[in-house]
Amino acid sequence: MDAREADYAHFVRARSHALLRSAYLLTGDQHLAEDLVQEALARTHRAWARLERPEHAEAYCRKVMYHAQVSFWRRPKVAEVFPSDFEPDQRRGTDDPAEAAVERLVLRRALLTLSAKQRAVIVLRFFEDHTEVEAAQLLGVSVSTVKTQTARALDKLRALMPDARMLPEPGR
Amino acid sequence: MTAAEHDDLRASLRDLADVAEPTDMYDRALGRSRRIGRREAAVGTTAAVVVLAALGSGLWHLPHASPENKKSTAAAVPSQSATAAPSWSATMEAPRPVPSMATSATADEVRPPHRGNRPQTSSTPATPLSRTITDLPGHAFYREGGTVVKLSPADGETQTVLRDTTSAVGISPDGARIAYEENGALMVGPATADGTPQQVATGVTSPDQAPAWSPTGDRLLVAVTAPGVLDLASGEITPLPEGLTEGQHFRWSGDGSKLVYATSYCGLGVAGTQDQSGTAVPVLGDTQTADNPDGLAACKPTSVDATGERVTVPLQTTGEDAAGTDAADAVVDTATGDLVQLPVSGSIVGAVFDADGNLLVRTREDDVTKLSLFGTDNTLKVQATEPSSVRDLDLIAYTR
Repeated sequence: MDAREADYAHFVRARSHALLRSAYLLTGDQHLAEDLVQEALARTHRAWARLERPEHAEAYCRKVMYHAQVSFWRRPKVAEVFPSDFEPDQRRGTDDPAEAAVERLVLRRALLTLSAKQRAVIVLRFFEDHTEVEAAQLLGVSVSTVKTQTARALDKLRALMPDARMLPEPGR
Repeated sequence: MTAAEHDDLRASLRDLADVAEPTDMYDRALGRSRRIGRREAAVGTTAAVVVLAALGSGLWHLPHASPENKKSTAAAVPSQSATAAPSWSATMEAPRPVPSMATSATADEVRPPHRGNRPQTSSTPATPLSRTITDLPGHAFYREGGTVVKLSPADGETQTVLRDTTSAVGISPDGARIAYEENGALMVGPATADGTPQQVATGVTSPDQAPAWSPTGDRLLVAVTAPGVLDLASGEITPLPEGLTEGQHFRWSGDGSKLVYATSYCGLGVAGTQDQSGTAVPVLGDTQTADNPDGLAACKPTSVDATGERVTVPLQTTGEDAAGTDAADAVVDTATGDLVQLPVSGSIVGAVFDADGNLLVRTREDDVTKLSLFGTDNTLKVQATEPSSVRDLDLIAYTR
């Protein structure tokens, strides 16, 4: 393995889990998330020689991933929602693991009812903590589109999760 | 809104993301990269030059161009050495490879440049008769999530005709009615902002079959336990012949003589409405790389021209499923499986036939979205900027 391949292997092994976490929020499924990350990493490998620094590689890879998931000519793949798919997870440090699992189930189902673009802006803005400008650049859309899609997505999430405390009231 | 107010959402997203399990992606990513590399190495760009020259000569009008035409066109084009484009761009808009002439024994075998699930555009855009959006007749229907919106370009008006639906919808050819499934019931209502729908059938499912209107608007092809045709006057459902029951996403040709549908392997089939079974459209969904080098597939036809010769589809790759939007981005010749080249510039983000065979194409270039209407004789009647009110929606239907 030459140095360039070794750098790529290091990048993949260091960043795959972080990419999979975002991809899971975009797809709602471990296998679909792996497929999405695989495609993004493969495209990054094709472009590796042009990407001078590791941080460029991750930015490129994430851009590929978001475009693959929201672009008009690829069918975004998302999981179907089956409650039985979602077994309560005892690993989390909450007082009530069953309640935490239910909350995750509700959020996952709510995310999957959003359009691909709306889901992408929610993940970019509130999971990856990008600014509206950064999210717009990453998705290749205008800032106003990001604002509109974010507002619509939050409205939908509010409607789907009326009991959730996580979402601010409109206008605040 | 302050950042602090979103902290709970952030925490919940992080919590949900923890479900994703770490996986070593190196071998998979490298394998996929090599497959992409092999495909790129195996092809050239000469055929694209040939086909683009054919487009310039207007041959795109002729999905069934004779071999003589193809041969003379190909022969007129000098061979050019391939200049490999960068394998990919971050926006996924880099040209995809095309079949090389070097692999073809004769010019007869030239096929349009299949570019995977990339929309097809020509480098020689046609000149429209009008550039005014108000000259665009009829109605265009758009969808985002559960909301369906009707755009009337003549007066620029948009109205929401359905909200909060989870069903695939069918718009009648006259643009006046909308059909959809709700809790297993088939509903038909006026395609207006305040229409009251009526239940016309029960036991209907919509994921594999949107209610598909017959060109005369008196029947709906729906899926019950199997696909069947509902006579709206009598309420009677006539099942399709057994040879067609495996089909999905049936759509009528504008003259009512043909049905185009998707097969279970994301290919396309065509059947006469009196036929007991259908005929497969070549290439699409074919898993043999020799026959389908770019792995093209079509899991969901969305509209058919007047005679069943051309169909709009969201172009996919083999192995994908039919999930996703209904926005078609390619026009397929049902006789050959070739992608019909459209003389427009930019990326195609929507394409749909009306029942008369007019083709509405939606393109996006430099963040400007345009609608182009091609008449049944393939003349570009209108090309104009789309109203911004439907910017973020998918084009799903075009009607009178």
